[in-house]
Amino acid sequence: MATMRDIKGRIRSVTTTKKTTKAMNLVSSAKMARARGKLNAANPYFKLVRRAISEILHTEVATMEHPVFEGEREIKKTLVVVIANDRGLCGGYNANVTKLAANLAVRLTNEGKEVAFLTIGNKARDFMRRAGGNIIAQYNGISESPTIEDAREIIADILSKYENEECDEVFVCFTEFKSAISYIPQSLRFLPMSPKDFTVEKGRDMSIMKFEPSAKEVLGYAIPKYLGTAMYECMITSAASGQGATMTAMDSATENAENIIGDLTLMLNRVRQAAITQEISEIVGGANALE
Amino acid sequence: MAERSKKFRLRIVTPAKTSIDKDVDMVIMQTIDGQIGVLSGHEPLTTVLDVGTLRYYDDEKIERVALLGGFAEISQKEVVILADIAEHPDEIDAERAKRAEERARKRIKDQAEGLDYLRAELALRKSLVRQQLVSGPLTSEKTKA
Repeated sequence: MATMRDIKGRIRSVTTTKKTTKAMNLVSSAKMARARGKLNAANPYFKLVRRAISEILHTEVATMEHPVFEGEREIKKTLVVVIANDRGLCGGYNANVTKLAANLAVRLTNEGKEVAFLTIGNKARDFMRRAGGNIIAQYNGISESPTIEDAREIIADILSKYENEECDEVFVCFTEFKSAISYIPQSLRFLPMSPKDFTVEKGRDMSIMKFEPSAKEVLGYAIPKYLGTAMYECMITSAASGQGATMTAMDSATENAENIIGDLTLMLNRVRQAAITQEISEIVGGANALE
Repeated sequence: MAERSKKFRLRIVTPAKTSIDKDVDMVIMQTIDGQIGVLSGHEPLTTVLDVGTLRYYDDEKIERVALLGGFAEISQKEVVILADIAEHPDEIDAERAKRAEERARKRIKDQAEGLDYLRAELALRKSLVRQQLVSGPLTSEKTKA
């Protein structure tokens, strides 16, 4: 049977853990709010770049050829971008998105494609490596608070791989931030793009729009910007989800610690009561023996 | 401006924020083919912008913004500028821009190994635009002070 000293020690240790998890919960809720703010701030830019591309595609030069659009090119090699956290302690967040990526890779392999990975975040790299994936590029230490420059650098890397035919197709696996309690791992095909996905909003007459220096050049300029922003959105929404998942995980850890402290306190009281009872009965027994 | 001209909406949007969203009289910006001025009723045009200063006229006031790359979409009612970075004079750190200038100049001069010339030149131009914006305009704006 545990002594009172043992139990007291355990209570102290669990209390410390509780303080830590509580602090982590607060920190990640603040970080989540910041990531959400960034997500909202980037949204108008993203929408407008997308609109601009749609409009270029719907002018008379709609058949414009740009290598990022679907064409004759045969798809043999696929690059899967996986976005996860650098650290654990976030419930199923890392596991869910990497599992999605692994399933996607299996499907693509079955289609006869060669799959390689680009990982963002230590955990994404660790998981894909353990699953035996071929990792051709990794970016670590940026997934907690990604910047647009990070996203552009990654997209530049991806586009150069795409142009050098190191990959013919690009998927991105990320976790969409729906709300503070709902995060959905998703995969999105980045390249090649389909012009059909770009629709023009009604009521905007594009036939009179002119382009300088030329529609082709504007498009060539806008596409990397668009992809960079899309990547930024994926990274930011994943960062917000990761923080949200950490928050939830730490919240339940705190609650769990409270339960354990409750149980231990009860046990401590019982042990103390048992000791007192025993002492009394010893005294009473001793007194009786003297009579 | 003698008579009040018709205003139009100017929106400058970057990935970090919506930097400007207001009605103005005129916008002058630096495209890669040179400067263009836009008044209300300009023909619809989409153009790629250069690293440079954008000026806009709001009533009698002239405001300036550093635009470090981006493109502009001019339509019937509004001008939308999608910039990588847009900075007002009070947001610019002149010291930092000066250091960036020196660094870029040094890199170009020394022909450092693995020098990305275009990138270094771009960095230099960005730093110059920033500094120029802080140190004051070339026009008559200073007379107000």
